[in-house]
Amino acid sequence: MNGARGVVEGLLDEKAEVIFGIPGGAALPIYDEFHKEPNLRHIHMMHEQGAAHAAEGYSRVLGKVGLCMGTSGPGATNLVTGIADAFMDSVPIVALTGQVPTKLLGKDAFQETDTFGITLPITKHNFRLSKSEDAYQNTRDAFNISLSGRPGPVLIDLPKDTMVGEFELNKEQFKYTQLKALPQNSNEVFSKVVDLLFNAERPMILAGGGVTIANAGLELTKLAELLRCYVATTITARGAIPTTHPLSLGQIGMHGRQVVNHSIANCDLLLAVGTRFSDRITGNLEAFAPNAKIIHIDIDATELGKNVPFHMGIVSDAKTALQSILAVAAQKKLQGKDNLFRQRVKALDVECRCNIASDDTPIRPETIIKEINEILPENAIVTTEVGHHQMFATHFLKVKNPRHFLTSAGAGTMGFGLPAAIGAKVAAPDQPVIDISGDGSLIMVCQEIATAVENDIPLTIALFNNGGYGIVQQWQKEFYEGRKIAVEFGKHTDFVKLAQSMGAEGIKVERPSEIQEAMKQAIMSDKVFLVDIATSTVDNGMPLVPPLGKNTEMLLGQHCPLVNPRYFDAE
Amino acid sequence: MQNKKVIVTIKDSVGALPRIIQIFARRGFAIEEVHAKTIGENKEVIIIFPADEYIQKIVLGQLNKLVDSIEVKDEV
Repeated sequence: MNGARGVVEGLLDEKAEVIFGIPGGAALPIYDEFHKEPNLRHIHMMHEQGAAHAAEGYSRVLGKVGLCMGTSGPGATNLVTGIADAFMDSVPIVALTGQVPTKLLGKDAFQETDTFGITLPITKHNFRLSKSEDAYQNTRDAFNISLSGRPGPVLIDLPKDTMVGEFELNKEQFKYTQLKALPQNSNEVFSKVVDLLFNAERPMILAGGGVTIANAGLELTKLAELLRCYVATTITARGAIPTTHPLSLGQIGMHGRQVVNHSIANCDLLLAVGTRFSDRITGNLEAFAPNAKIIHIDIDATELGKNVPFHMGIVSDAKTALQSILAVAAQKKLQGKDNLFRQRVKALDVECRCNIASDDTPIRPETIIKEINEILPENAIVTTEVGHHQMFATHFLKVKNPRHFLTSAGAGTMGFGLPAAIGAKVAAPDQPVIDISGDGSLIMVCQEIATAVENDIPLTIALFNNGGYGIVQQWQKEFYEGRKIAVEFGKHTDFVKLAQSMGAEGIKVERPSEIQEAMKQAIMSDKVFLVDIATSTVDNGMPLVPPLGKNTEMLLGQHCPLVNPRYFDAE
Repeated sequence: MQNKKVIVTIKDSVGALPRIIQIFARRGFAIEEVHAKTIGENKEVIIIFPADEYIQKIVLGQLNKLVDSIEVKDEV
């Protein structure tokens, strides 16, 4: 068989079912094999960035490897943003790229780019195939590497000569290239964790994306209940514990809830699971949980102590660690403790709830989320783009299940939401998928509306249309004395017409009272449906910790209640 | 900062050296010397770099994290 067939055999043996991509000259040998393979569904995207994000959306829903492909040169560079996005959020995707024949490498051949070099720092691992014989092995290794340990993107660059070259495949001799094993933790380690948790006066749990990735939401919730301990979540852990759970406190950090930031600042023990303590989470490091012993659990040893010093660092996946902690905790008895701290957090939580109902027009973004909450089906998967709408969704949207809120967290990639929604819908065809979108983001990837229509992938786009970059405006207002530049646009862009021109349906919404009906109509339509919502330009709609400022010193949004952490001062 | 020395054994495939070097480049960490030689199917790479405790910890961690690295030894 030829190298291209070797790759496809590898994909099939890894149980790959879907690939998102765009063909091109150097990718043709592989595409010709896709043509012969009815069990591998190819979804033709309109831009390679969309292909990578769709692979991410697929993967984020299922926890399986998402597959994407582009040709050499610009096809590969267009994939780069999505690969970098997957790298930041530890999403297992495998990207295949066409490449010019080996003997033309370095000759500035047509559509030649050093894809291997470009993607070296943004992949967990990458390959450039040097001979046809490696096609099957490298493909299967790519899947294994992508999923093992801390997941991440893997790229295979496929020079055209290696794809057309013939070789003999012997599957019986196949075995994965061995990867490094995770260290085993003794029971004493978890026993010590439980002692610390049980003896803490003011414990808090911080859950990160690692909890979602390890499918450890249930264990997290059980531990919180056992300890009666509040859980703060990072954006990638949204839904790991249902946001409606009484112990779920919500979002931490730069755009987090005031109660969360004050509680973390005042806790004496922080159990941090599967989080890398990014700058958006911690703010000023010296003021982050200054009085707490931090127990940091992460599957990636290099995360421990990278940003935040720890009292105990444990290398483990979130599920194994939480299960072990639960098992030890079940044997020990939690003393009836003075739960003053919990009462104080609870009081602050109540104080921190703002009124997000409003009749204002244009519509306040938080009000849109409130209206969506009212009609959102329990099994709906929500994706977001990046910006104000994303922060409002993260803050207020009810998410009851893990892997049901997909957002570009670390990389902050505008244009993630729509293609990710396509991938999500392909992964879960029986569930409604909604892209909570902003006009600035949507226009970056609006061509993927055509992808959804042409491939019959129904989804709803809830467009928070405020005619500009809301969050950038907020920063210009707060930090650049209100000098707005390059943040207002789109007065003449009609998104409904845009959607209709590609065969989708669209409707405009101008009053809060119309949102629920419009969203229901869109979701029920089982079509690609855009709801264009006239959204107010809220300069300061959200609490904001200035970059590297203290998390407890937030600039408040115009509708935020002023929460007074006096409860904690009483100590 | 004092010079530290680390010896990395890494599978010899396309890009073995760039994988190591980009760990330093991305973070703006300096390199004083690099020596590499091929031993069978692997490359042994000796890197001498100025480092404090934090830089050393990051470099060792990242070298260990490379999918293709087989052994990482540090010597002062």
